[in-house]
Amino acid sequence: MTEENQERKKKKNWKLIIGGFAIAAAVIYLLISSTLSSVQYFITIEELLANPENYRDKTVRVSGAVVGKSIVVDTDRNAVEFTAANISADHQAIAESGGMAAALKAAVNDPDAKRIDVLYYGVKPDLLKAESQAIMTGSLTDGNIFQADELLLKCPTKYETMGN
Amino acid sequence: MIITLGYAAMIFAFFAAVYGIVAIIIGQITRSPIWTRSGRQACLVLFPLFSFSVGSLLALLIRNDYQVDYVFQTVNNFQPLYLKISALWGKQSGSLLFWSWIFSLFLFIWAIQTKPEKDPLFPTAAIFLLANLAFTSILHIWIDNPFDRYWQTGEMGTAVLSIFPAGNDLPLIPSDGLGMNPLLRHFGMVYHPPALYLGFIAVFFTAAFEISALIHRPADDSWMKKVRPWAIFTWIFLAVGLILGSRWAYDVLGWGGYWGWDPVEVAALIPFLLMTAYLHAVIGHTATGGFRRWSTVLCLLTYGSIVFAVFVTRSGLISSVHAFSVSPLSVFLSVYLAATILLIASLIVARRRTFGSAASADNLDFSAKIQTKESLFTAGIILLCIIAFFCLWGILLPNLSELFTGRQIAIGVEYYEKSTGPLFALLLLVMGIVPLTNWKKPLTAKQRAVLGALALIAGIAAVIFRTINHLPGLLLPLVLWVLFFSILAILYTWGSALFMRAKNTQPKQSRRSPGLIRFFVGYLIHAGVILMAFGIIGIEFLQIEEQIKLTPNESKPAAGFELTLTGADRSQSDEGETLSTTVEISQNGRKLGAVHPQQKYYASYNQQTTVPGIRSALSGDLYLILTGSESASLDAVRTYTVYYNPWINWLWIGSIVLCLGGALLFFGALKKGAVRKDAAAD
Repeated sequence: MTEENQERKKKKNWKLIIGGFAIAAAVIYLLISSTLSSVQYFITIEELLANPENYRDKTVRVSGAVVGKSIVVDTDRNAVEFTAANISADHQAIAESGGMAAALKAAVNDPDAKRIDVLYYGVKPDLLKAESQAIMTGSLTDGNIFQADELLLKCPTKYETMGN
Repeated sequence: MIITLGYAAMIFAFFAAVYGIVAIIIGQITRSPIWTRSGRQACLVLFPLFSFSVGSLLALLIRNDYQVDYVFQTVNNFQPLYLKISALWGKQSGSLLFWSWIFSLFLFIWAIQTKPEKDPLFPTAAIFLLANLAFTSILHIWIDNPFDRYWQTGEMGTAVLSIFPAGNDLPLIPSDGLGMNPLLRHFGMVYHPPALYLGFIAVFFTAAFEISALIHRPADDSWMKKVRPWAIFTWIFLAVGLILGSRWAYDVLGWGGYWGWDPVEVAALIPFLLMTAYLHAVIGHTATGGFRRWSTVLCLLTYGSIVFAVFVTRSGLISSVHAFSVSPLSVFLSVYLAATILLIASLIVARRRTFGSAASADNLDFSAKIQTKESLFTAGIILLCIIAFFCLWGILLPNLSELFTGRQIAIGVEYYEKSTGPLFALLLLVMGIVPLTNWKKPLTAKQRAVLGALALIAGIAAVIFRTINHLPGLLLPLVLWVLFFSILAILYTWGSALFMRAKNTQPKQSRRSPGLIRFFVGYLIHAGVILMAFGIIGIEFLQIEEQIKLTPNESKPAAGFELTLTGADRSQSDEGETLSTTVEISQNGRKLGAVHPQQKYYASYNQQTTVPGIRSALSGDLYLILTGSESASLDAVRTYTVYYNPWINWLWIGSIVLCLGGALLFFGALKKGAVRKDAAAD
């Protein structure tokens, strides 16, 4: 390799390295900034109500069992209101005690389970019904009502075994 | 009887697959072609065996044989035939059997085209494929068996679930089944899962070639021609599966719109992105001899991402609307995923020095080099990889956080939009510049002038478009400028290629025509992507949402239209009750037709579903959802949520263009393979 060529190669490498670093920095910045701006803590209703001040005006995600009788559709305000009862976040414990369907049923029927009132502006989701699992993203407002910006529902099938 | 036969066929198939692996290994160790050929026979026999098994399950579904738990769970007495057939993949165990069946079909096609004595890649590839098939067989034979039946046992008559009765158990036959989950009772269930499965499974075959070539390092590259149809097939069906799922989600409320960034959707998007990158690496390799490292690594990563997608969907460890519920498979799938990652990592590490590329365009200096087509290909590939990584991060972060910090976190849709949005825009820009670049050479003065002119024209068009349509903000016009520029670049390239052809009538040119067709088709796919982007931009930036209350026969404005509720109808069917309303749509006094937003109630699941009424037009869709249906009386006031989704149909038109381009590419690759075979025979 001639000297000139070597020099050219060195120069090129520098440009490549600087460019590479700039791109990597941009990518990492994009990743971190978008992660931080959309991260939400997943907590239980019990945790939320135990320390409401910690979570006020912060976006959190809570999961609870829907109390069937409490569902009210307010078409004037285009809102849905319902009460959700605390369920454990421990999947293993839920699986061992008979599955999600049983856990949801137990939570709704347990008078001691912590409950919150939920307000959601939007169309009533089809799966919002008694003993379904609601995964709510939003924040606790001043009246200790949880205002959900996003409402996801899951219905574990009750017919996992036909035996009972 | 039919149950026993279907079950037995699966077991025979599993042992045939194991036999095949053993036979090929013996054949390799003893250098005995008879053993190797026998291993190939095992590859061929799997398809008839699995067909028998799938046929049995299908017969049980069609005959409503409710003693079988799988049938009980997915079919009921009133289910139409198309939903009975799609019940085959409606739940975990059946869909696994269906997976094995498609896999065995591809294996059959692959093995029949292969000559085990002449093809040095055959043994390793066959072992790899048989091992993957044997794994899914284990799952649906021993862990989650679709042929399990109900038996009454003991004096109490307790129901038990097993394949064969113990002692004097009597069969327990329910009179009706539960039927498929109401949210799945849609035509989408017929075509979306199988399309995606075809793409997913074909990836294993692409990977089988690459892995075998990596291990055996064949002297010639002829195997690469054989991979190409598989790779294109994979790519098409990954695209088709995603698009059909997207359309289904758009047509049915409850799946969250055309794209919801659900973990399972994202897990299926990752292989598509990586496969796209892989295909571009292959094109780059054909043109320059470079890109070998990229194509090998990308192929292995695509394969890994498929296994990851299977894990996400089926293990139940990641929460999603698509996921099968928490399943006993999770341990097995975790092991499978770990084994796959280990295989990929060790292959890459062990062979890192052997798959280097012949460096191309090294004689150019840096500023000239970044103007070449290979640089833009590299940029596009890197962008696709980063997007894929961001998607993976979005799925993993919530789980990693729980693992390491004990805190459960979630990340919302904004994460994906913010992180991948700018990268997709850059990708569109690269797509626009690529047609006007050259392999191994920097841009010519003319190409630079054309690029500048096109950018200027696109800019003017974007400004005019913004003024005419009263579009808000600056971001949207900027994105539109990129889109206009990219589509203009493609049109210019097509135009100039046709013009050159028309001018140049020498016979020499006609010999290059397959290349010209491939070039045309390649940019056809790009054009499809750009049209799709247009539709996505419309719904993301310009969607209008309004709530309205309609009193019967009274007109009200919403989203630029006038809506009139003209009727409601309540009907009973075997499945449940349907409330259907009729809303007339007009604009500026002109009648545009009526839509029928509905709510259906499924009694057996105590489940309501909402079917939107959609009025489609190229300029945008008017999308009506019936929200309040509590009132029983038919002339009640009703509430609707009205969406106006501008340009959304370009998403579907672009999808069709993309699939058409993909299909042409696939048949081109098949034909080219055949031509080469003929040439070799001569």
